[in-house]
Amino acid sequence: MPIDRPSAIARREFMWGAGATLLAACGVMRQVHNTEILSSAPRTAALRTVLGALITSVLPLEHPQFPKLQAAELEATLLELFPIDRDPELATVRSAVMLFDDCAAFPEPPAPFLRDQRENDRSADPAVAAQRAVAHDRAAFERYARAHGGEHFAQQSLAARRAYLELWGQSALATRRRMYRGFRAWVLISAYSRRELWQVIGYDGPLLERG
Amino acid sequence: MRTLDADVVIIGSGAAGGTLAATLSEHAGWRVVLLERGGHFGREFFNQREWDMSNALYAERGLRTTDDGAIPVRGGECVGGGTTVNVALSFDPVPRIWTRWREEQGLTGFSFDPDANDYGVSGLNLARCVADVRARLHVHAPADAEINRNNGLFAAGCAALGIATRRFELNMRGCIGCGFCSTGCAYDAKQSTLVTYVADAVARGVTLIHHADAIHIDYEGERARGVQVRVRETQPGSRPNSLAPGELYVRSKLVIVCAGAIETPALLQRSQHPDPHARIGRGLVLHPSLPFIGRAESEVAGHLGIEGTMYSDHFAETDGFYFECLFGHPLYGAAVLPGIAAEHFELMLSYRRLFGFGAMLIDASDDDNCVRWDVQRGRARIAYRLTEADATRLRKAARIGVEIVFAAGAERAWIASDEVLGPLAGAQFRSAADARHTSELRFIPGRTTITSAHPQATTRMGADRKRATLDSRGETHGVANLIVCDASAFPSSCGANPMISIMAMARYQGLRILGESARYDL
Repeated sequence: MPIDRPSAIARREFMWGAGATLLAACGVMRQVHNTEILSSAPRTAALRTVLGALITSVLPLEHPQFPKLQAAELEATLLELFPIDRDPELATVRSAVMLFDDCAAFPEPPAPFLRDQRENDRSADPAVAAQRAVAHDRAAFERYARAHGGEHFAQQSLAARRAYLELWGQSALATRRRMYRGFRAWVLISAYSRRELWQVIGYDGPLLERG
Repeated sequence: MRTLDADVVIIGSGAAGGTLAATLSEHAGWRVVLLERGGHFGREFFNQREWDMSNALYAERGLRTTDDGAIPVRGGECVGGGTTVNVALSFDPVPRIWTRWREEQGLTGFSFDPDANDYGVSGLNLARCVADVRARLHVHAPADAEINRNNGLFAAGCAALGIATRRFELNMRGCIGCGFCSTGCAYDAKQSTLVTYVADAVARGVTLIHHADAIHIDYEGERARGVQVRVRETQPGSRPNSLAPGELYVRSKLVIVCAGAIETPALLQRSQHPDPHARIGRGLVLHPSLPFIGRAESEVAGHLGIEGTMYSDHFAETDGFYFECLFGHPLYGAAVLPGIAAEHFELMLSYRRLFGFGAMLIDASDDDNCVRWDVQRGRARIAYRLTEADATRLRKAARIGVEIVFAAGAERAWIASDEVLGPLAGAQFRSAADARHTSELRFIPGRTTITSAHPQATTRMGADRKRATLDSRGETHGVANLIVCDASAFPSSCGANPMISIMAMARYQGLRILGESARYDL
């Protein structure tokens, strides 16, 4: 997969900047006390493109029974509940989103992912287990790339985006699964906080608001 | 620096701290200060919206998890602590567990004989304390009419398989069955410490300071001298605080830590409490719980009515797990249900036909499972992994749980997992026969959702100083006027949902302190 030089540099800088703090970003917002601001924090427009792609991948906006909601409305709710686009304490969360978007970076997980894998592993040889996990993910990615190609999640087709999410959800690396869970949770929490969704699923909402 | 002089300072206003504050306030002359990290929210604030309340009332905004992100560890962080946000399940202390703690851990006192006078204190015994707590909290079994269809289906499924069920006892008074226990009771019907013991304590002159971070405990030689506190700005919606924001030092003759099994060991660690055998924080128990979801042919509406009224302790003594009937509002439901896109949405579309319950494992205490204060990150970290023996028991619970779902008449069953189980698509079961594939569950972190709300046993009582941090009075080995009294003090799991066990222990320690006041120069 050809990579032009400027973007390769940007990617390297990003990976370096994300470094150890990236792990902290993966638990959605719970580590807000523990974040560092990255010098290469992604631009808001790019971030929002990826968030929009996440929303349309996790939620079936195309489903005939899904409420008539635009992705932009759901994105507004998401950013209201999780102010990741503007809260300086959530800079690493922004970086995690952009790392996720970078499909081409998938085969070689960043060092903090591997460190996390080894530290949380209680098997006899955590280093070997981590290498096995990397090999598993690389093979899974190769299958994905053969079927879908593409460098950026947000630019893929809907089917490819959902397959890519699945790749993360079924990763052998715990940090990737955790990011998948986190992203999925943001979108679901944002959607199911809205009355339009309550109505279609038959949830009565707060008794206090029922009159 | 502002300084408050107290006779007793209590850190944490939940099941333990609230009960202790009320009990100690029975002594008219003592100055008691009750510190709470969370806000003082009440019925006027509880709006029955999951996300709002999760943010305001729960530790780490409801998003606290184990280090690997796999297990949410829910806990109340507000006045009333867990009792403000739990679903009112009230289990008396389990006598066989306390007997085992006496025999194996060398615990003294805590008599179940209602005529006993432990430590020579008149009328001091655990039986009396349980009775006191039950009376104050109005613990009682719900009536037939209060059992909603979700609980009824669960009980019917168990009955069809010959599995005994019981009715939960609940700490409620005048419950209207709104189904919003876990977002704080907007009707003051749930008898949390917020509306019982903390209210009693404040009425009797206890100083409640909320939004109060206990930074560290301060020592002078082998005695605790006080607590360094930072009072934060009061959050919108909270009742007013008794002190303005800023630094505060509470000097006290007796310091009692009731911050729960995650924050208590973290506070002791950052206070550099003596720990010669590296015990503080070790042996964490979580009561890992596995949710089951079934889809019925007709409406269940499990979100309406009292959430949990039925449970089964059929396997409690033989296999160490309970089945407990519970249900979720949409945010919890959406998070637990597997998949994305149409697969997930179509399950949500059947929300009113879903029913649910959980298997709660009484997990073994393992030293590798621990809480540690992370100085750099400024928070407690939770390392936890299911032991292989516990995973084996949870697999058995998973199989029986799926069988119960089908015995209750479901056309489909799920557990919250996307692990590959034999030929199944995800953890979706099409018949009771499919339940056998649960034997392939590996409980992979981040692929199978296990939940937890009962951390315990991280600052344990016991006679052996090499194994335990506290003696039976809850005094820390090494610092006599520092007491720990909460779920962290249990030597292992207390064997059931812990609220009443914690409150009875707190009532007991409170009455003991009243009877042994000279011991603390009070």
